[in-house]
Amino acid sequence: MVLQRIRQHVMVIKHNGIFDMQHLFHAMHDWFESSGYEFHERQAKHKVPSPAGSEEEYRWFAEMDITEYVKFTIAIFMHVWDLREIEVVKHGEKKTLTQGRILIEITPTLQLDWTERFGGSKFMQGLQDWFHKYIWKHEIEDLWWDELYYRSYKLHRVIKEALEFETKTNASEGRW
Amino acid sequence: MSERQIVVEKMHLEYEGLFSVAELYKFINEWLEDKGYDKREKKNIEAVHPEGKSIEIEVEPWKKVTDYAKNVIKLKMAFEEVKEVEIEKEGAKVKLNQGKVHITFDGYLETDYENRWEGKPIFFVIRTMFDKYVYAPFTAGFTEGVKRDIMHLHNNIKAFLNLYRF
Repeated sequence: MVLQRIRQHVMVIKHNGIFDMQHLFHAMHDWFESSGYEFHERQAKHKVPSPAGSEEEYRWFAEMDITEYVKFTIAIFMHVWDLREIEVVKHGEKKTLTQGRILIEITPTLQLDWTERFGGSKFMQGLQDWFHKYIWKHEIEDLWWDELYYRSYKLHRVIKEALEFETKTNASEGRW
Repeated sequence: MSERQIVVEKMHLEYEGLFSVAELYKFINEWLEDKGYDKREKKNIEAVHPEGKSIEIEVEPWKKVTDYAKNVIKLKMAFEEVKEVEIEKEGAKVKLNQGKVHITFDGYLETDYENRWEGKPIFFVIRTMFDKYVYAPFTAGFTEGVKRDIMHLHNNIKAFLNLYRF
């Protein structure tokens, strides 16, 4: 294999209650844009509403080229159930918010050799393995992996803030 | 596959009363950072019910001790019936939460997390022999470290929660 994907653990956020869906989507999209990611909406599904509310599903994908060899990607899966619009008065102002259940999964992946420089022969692939194991081991594990890890937690926090979670803070927020 | 040795299993901490969810969470984050752990937040669930919010968080912080062993702490936090209350403290109004807290602590020592000794069956045998006869004193020291860290976190959280006994 030439292109190597190192997938990090999946972060799961669930919320049941009232939230501002518009604000959540904007906050996430803005974070991708401001962090330099190229953003794609790969899938958007909407089911015919039942008496409990509607159901929606989204798959987003964002990528950022770090070097000609390294690329960060973040895959987002969102599922919303029992979605209903409700009107609330917040700080004396009438607002339309959303009531429902939402599940968000964030999957960060480190992609190595996305330009396929080591493609072609078995020798080149062996060389790539050797480089990864001995020459770039420190860069891969301590630099790029860490950068992606801490950046992803920043997005994690943005989502928790948009959903007005009690537990917004994360450890090591000063990094990256 | 790496091997996980259970060091602390299902240690519980329960509390009911006044506290601040955000402050407690921040406190745990700061402790993890101070001790050099990388926090891995696996799950964060919040739900609003008529009796109050329920929050469920699962984190699995880890710290590399050597190239061969790493400490892993598993924290499962459950907050039930969390309501916002306003109290008066030294003449000033403070917003706090009232509710129930249940934290479960688990501690592991994960060895060969880079799967260096998994390539061939003979490596696995050698690793087992090394673990048993050569690394044993080191491993014992590492497991002590995991235990010490968990006890320290447990005691600190207990002390933190006691601060809010008005």
